[in-house]
Amino acid sequence: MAIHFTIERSGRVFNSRADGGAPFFVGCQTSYRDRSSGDDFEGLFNVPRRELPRLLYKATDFRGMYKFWADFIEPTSKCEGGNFLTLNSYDRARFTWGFGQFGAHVPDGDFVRFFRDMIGRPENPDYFPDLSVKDGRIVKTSGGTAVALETATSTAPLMDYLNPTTTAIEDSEVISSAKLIHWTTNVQQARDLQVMHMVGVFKSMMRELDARLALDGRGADICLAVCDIRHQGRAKIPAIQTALNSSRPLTNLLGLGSISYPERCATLKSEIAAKGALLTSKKWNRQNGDFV
Amino acid sequence: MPIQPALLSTASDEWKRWGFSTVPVHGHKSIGGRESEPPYVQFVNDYWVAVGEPARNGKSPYPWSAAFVSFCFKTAAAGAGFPYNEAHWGYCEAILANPKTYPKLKLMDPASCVLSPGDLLWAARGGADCPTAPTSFDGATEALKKGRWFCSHADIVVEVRSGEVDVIGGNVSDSVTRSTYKTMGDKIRDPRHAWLAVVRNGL
Repeated sequence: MAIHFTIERSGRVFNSRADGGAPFFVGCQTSYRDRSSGDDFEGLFNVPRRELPRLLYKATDFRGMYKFWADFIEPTSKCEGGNFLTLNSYDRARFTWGFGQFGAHVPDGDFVRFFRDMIGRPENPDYFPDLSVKDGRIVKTSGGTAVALETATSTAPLMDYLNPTTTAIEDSEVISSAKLIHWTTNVQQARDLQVMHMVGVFKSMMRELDARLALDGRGADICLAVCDIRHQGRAKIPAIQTALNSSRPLTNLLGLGSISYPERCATLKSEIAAKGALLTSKKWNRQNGDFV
Repeated sequence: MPIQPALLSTASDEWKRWGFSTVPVHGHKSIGGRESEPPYVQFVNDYWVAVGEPARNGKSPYPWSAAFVSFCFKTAAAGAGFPYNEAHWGYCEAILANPKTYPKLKLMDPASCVLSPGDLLWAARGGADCPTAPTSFDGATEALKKGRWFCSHADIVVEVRSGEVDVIGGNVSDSVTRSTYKTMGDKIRDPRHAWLAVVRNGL
């Protein structure tokens, strides 16, 4: 039976109730101008806000399952806010979710793959009863007709479903956000799925970046800096290659994008330093496809 | 004589017959044959025969994963030791209700059960006409005892490795598919499904 979500607005703050229960925080209205395109965006964010429950990703909770990879993804999670409930619907990705900030704009990307698995869980009829996975794709069923929301080349219908425009905050945007927040808060496996997919994203990224940047034998601290840069998209391959080829690769990698994103780069630097030997004692091994 | 070797080889032979469809933990799934295409449409008929529905095939509008499990047990010569059924709910209910009839099969809590090849891994499933399914062992066994039917799915455990288990099941991505799931201490921990029970197979 689908849970009924209602919206409550107070100034720039949006709350929701599930089936008339206690109100819970969804997000705050914000505006954003893209520096490169000059486009204006409006949407929701919720980290850092004291109203948001502190459902934080901690590597120690997942080492048993994912071993070293639980630590490898933690610095980037801290850079993204660290909270399983992190929401951003105010930039060109239209809808990014979770401690890994999976973006809905990439076909077959991290959010799409994660959301397919969420929809496959038995709680889905409570949250997104009109969505299902057919032939490996997310479809919306309306009036007996199923329409694909994503293909190998586009997620535009899925983005429209989650967040119809980037110029205003729509009810459907708040409701979609509220559903994911409620689901993730109340079902441990919804959080576990984020971790599984974040590990998958970084494993896949390591193999891909190794092929392009020859990372075989590189320390995990350097590999992590490269992965974080690509995950956020703050530098391109040639710039990363130049930093890798320098005499101080980690320092130079941490400097990429530091003018536009000084806080993120500082957080990444301190988180890598905090991991210490846990990172520096491991090296990427191409043959194993893993750190050894 | 234990049926486990024959059960595993039957499941593997079927997987091969369908073109090695695979769903890994990470990365892209690879699907070989699909249920509605020849010759696979007729392979599904083989499974339906095992549960007394010889008119059905891969184009029939019924989920066939339990028929696949029943086919594998029947082919492995489980005889009267397995309660063949067209629904996973049906054979799980029979195992729970008739322990003296099926003494070598037992429903175990997946949270604490170490997996072995030949076991069945049972999970909740949603669907258009499905009532709300339980999400735990206690909820599932209570529903079985009270006769509350729900949609579900089960696969045959074929390989247990450190941190992962491989299972083979029917009607997974419209194929017979080998899927890999995450484990910890050889217990199922994969968050993609709500795990209801392990059917410990001592046949």
